[in-house]
Amino acid sequence: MASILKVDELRGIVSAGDVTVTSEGGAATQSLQQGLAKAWVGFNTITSTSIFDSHNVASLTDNGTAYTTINFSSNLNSTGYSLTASAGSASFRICLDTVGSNTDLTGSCNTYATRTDNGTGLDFDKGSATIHGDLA
Amino acid sequence: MASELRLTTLANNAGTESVDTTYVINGSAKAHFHYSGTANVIRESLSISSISDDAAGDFTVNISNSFADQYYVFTGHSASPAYDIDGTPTASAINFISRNTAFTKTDYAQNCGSFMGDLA
Repeated sequence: MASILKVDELRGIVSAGDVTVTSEGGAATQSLQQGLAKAWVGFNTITSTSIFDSHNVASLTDNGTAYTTINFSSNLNSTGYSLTASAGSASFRICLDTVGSNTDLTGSCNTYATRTDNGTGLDFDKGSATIHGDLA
Repeated sequence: MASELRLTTLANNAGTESVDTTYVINGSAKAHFHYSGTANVIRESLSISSISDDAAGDFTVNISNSFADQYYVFTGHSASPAYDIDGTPTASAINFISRNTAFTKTDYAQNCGSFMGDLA
C-alpha cells in the first residue's frame, strides 16, 4: 500500500541535520542531507549569460569570455564543497574547469571553459554545474 | 532513539509538491569528494574512506560504503584543463587523472567528484 508523508521540513531526532536513508541493497545507511545536491544550474554564456533552470543559485556573473561565477542563494559552510560541471559547444570540444581554486568562496564558485584542441577560452551553449557539500 | 519511516511519497504540507521516495533515495549522491592533489588533502567528503596519491596527477578514491557493482555514475571536475578516469572502476574505488594542457599528468589543487547509483 502506498504511503504519503506530507511535511514541509524533515529533521533528525538525535541531530536535527542528520536523517539517514537505507541503501538500495540494505547493507548500509547514509545521511540524506549530505547526499542531496545543495545547488545546481543549467546555463549558457553565448549571447548573454543566462540560467535555464537552477536550484539555490541566485545569479551568474559574466566575468568575460569563458569565465563565469555562480552565486549561491544559501551559502555552503566551507570552501571545501564538491563542484562537478560540464559544458557543450556546437563548434568545439570543450572542457569546463575551475578558476581560482584557492579563491572559491562559500557563496560562489568560478568556472572557465576552454577548447580542448588549443586551450583557448570560449563561451558555450549549455553548461551544467552541481554542488554537493554542507550548507552553512 | 532511532526511528524509521517507510514511505512511498514525500509531499509538502500543502500537497502541491511531492516526490516519490525512489527519487529521493536514487537521486541522492552516495559519495562525493573535494580533494587537493597538490596538498594531498581531502577538503570535504561523503562516504570516502581515503584517497591515495598514486603519482603526479594520479589518485585513487576509495569509497566507504561500496556500490552494488562498478556501473555507478561518476562525474568529476578539476581545476586542470583535462581530466579522465584511468582503468576500470570497481564497486569501491575509482582512479582519477588530472592533466595539464600538454595532457601530462599534473597535480591540481581542486579535484571534485560525485557518485550516483545503488549502494550494496
